[in-house]
Amino acid sequence: MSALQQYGILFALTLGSIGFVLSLYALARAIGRNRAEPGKDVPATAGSLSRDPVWVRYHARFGGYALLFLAFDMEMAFMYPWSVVYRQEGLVALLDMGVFLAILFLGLLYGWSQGALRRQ
Amino acid sequence: MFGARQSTPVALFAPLRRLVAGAMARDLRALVVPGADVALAAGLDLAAAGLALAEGPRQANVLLVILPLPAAMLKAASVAYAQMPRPRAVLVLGEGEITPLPEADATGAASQEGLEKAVATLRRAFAEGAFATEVSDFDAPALQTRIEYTCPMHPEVVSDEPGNCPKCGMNLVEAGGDGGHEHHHAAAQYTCPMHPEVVSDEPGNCPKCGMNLVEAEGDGGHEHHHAAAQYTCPMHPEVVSDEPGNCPKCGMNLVEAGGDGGDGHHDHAHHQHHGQDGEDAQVGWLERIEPGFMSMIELTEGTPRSSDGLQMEWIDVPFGPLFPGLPGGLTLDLTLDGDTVAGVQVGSAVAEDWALPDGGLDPDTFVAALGVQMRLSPVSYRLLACRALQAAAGITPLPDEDMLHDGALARERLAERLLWLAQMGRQLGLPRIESRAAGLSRAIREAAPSEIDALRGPLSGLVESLRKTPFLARRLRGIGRLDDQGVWSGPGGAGSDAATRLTARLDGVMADLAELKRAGGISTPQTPDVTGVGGHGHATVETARGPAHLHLELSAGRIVSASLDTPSNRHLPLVETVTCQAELADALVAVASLDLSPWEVRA
Amino acid sequence: MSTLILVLFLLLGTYFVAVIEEWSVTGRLRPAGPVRAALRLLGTESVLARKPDRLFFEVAPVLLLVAAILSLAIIPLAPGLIVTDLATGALFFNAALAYVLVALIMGGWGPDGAYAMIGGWRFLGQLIGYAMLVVMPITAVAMRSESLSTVVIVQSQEQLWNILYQPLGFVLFALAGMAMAFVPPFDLPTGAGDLAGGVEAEYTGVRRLVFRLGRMVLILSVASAMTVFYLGGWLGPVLPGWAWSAIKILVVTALMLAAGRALPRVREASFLAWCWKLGIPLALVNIFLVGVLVLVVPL
Repeated sequence: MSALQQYGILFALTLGSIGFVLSLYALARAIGRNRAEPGKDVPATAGSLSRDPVWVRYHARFGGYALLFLAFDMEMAFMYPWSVVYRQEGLVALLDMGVFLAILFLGLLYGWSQGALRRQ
Repeated sequence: MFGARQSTPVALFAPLRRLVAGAMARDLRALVVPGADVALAAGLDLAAAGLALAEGPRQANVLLVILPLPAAMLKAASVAYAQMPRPRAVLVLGEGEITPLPEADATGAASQEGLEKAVATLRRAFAEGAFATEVSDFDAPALQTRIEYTCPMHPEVVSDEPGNCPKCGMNLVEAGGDGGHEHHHAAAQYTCPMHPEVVSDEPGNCPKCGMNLVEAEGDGGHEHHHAAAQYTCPMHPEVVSDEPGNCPKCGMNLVEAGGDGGDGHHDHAHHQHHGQDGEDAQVGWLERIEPGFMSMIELTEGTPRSSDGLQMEWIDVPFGPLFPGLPGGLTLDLTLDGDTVAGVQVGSAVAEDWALPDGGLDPDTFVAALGVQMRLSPVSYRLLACRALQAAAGITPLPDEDMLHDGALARERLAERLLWLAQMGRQLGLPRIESRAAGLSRAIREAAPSEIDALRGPLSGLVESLRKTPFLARRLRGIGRLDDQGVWSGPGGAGSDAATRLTARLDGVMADLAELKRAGGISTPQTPDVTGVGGHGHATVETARGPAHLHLELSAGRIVSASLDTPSNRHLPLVETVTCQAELADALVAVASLDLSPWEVRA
Repeated sequence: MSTLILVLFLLLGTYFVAVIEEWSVTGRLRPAGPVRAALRLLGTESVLARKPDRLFFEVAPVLLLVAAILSLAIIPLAPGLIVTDLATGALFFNAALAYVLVALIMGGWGPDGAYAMIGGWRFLGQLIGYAMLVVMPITAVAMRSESLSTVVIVQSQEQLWNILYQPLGFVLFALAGMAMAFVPPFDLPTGAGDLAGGVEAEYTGVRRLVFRLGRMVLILSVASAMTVFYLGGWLGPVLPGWAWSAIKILVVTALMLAAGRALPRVREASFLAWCWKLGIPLALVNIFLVGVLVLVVPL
């Protein structure tokens, strides 16, 4: 099977899943109707009617982790192809990646020492 | 069924609807009003009766109401009912008024037997009436509060829903009815936090240092607080500065270190958020900028400042009175900065004002009323009232009888500690602990002296497994730490945190068992005969939450004044201490670790 | 024929996961439970919050289900019994499940409800913790098999399962996988005691049904991945390959959900700290150890 065919199958799977969901929705619609009533459409907050909008800029407290995560995530893009050819390349590959990872790891340690690895 | 769902007219789907209705009848999810803890205290085993606990109104199809309830709680119940998706039903246990809720679909006595009968009725109601061709709306006064939203730039745009202005896309803000906005705004002055001599009518930057000008108000505004504040490095406490800036050692931002701890910070923060100041500042700058021009600095102007100095928008979120992780009836309104608690307001939806009627109350009614109000610990408070009456009338209790009453007290204390454990298990996601503790709590509450011995094994087993639960102590350590000279009188003592309070309660379980053994028997107190007697009396009983005191004045056999001091009422202000600047989950654990009973709170 | 078997696997697998999941919450094994719950949700109103972000709200449950189903497409149940044997299968698994985060954030943001929104953002924090611990152990697995194809990965374990070859990687991957499927004790975005349902809080009726389905398929998918990457997939004596796959997947699911029953929900701050201060250094050590092993002991 060519790669294109394989992705074709995955695409069909996606469409099939969406079709399944849509048919569920259609079935649910056929069973009964929704009724708009006072208060029903307000997001539930444990018995208090809270109409305040909550779409605000959210204060994430993991900023330090997030920055380190970006660095590590980029590095992973190299790790996949490297891991596949690792056995062929042998010790050289281990050393190459070792240097690369060591630098990254030093970055982690530096971030840690600067207090990036905590809730801000 | 009033809460039936409107069916479609297509007859083809009628069999499917019957199938669905049958499934619903076998899969009931209940939202308990006032809370699962009260159901447990009433001796109800919901799972055995075929009711699963719902996480919130959206997941429930049964509203289980345990009466009697005060009006505030029924109002919350009506909101929750309105938010339940149809088909939905109301199941009422006990006697009392349920307006504004609709008529009950099933009723029963507040006992396991009554519950099981009512559930059977409810199942039939679901199977037969989950769908109806004609349904009518549910409405209640609590659902009628209308807030209008308007655009700060275009006052002609008025909507009853928040959202964006159709003309300029800006967020609509709540419209105040009194028009105080403009007036207030005109009076506002802006000043630089670093250079108090710089005063401007308009927001903007300081000509000397370029910092944002802040609103200068006499009533506790931003800069007022700042002027008095000191700044310190979070990593190097020895670095203290009068001005904000960076730490000379590590370069981190200095944070505010007020002598009044987080308290002052919170007050000011809360004020900024709730009061008119914050909103007005927003309106102020909004009126001055060109539409379409929004720089980040100006966008954040007037929004509250977090502990790390970032300006963020905060939201008010109610947790309660029907929140699954907290005691039913406790209302916790958190101001959240991201997932961090920046402010808190705590109260009770089931509180009474404890006022005696004119002319006093006869002792029997008083004792009974106290027992009904203190829903989670009726025996303790009945005993408290009886002992205070005895003291007032100068009756010396028989030592033997007193021992037996102590037995009843210890038994209820044990049941209460287990009830708290069940709730903690629910909050922390430990279903096994939850169900074991709940089962034992139910069994202990009504257990005869002869049955206690049989429960000794399972009880120490539960205590052991809690001590051995991996990561539990670590999960609780450091959360909700109380300072040493606080008002805390519950388990663990001053300076305790959630972990030590858990340990103290587990020790309490074993101590209560020992006391039950010492008492040798159990007898519930009877109101003493105080006909025609006058005098003062004071009594104290040790409940699971701490000591409760009652001072009574008798005149001619009637109670003319009573002053009750309950542990939960004393501990309520501690909620602010333990939640301030805590992460949301930690804050909720901290509040739960205080073991507050909203029934003991004075309105 | 194989398509039919795979669909059957998906349906049965989801059903069993749902039964075990109900057991992990209520302590009761009720074979009819999931069917009843599904029918109940199908017949319940699906409430739309006032002024929602309609697109986000509608897309989230579908996206969760589709992402989970797609990630299952690279799971081989037996030789030849696989939807697509992608050359980049292990990478694809990771890529598909990256959308779990997107789905949860969309679902949290959509209804404009506080509990849901906080739940969604919390999961972002959780991803920052677990993501590296999913990826790094998979790399070590691929180092041994010299391929990202899941079929080759299973074949590479013929002599020794990866759980023995690289136990450290298995532990890390198992924990990270649980966090990815947000099962207890990593159910920060949906915890009942913290957020009264969190991201799921505003979903009712059929939308909730789809969300729950997605959740079950996700758990199934993570359990399958653990089986394929570490437990030798279909490998095993006597029984046919698909039977071994099914048994292993079920056992892994049960263990995963049973562990959550006994542990308190983690705190986000300590989860992140554990992941970065201990997990990632250990994952790097794992890669190094496997690197040496692969060169020294060519199994």
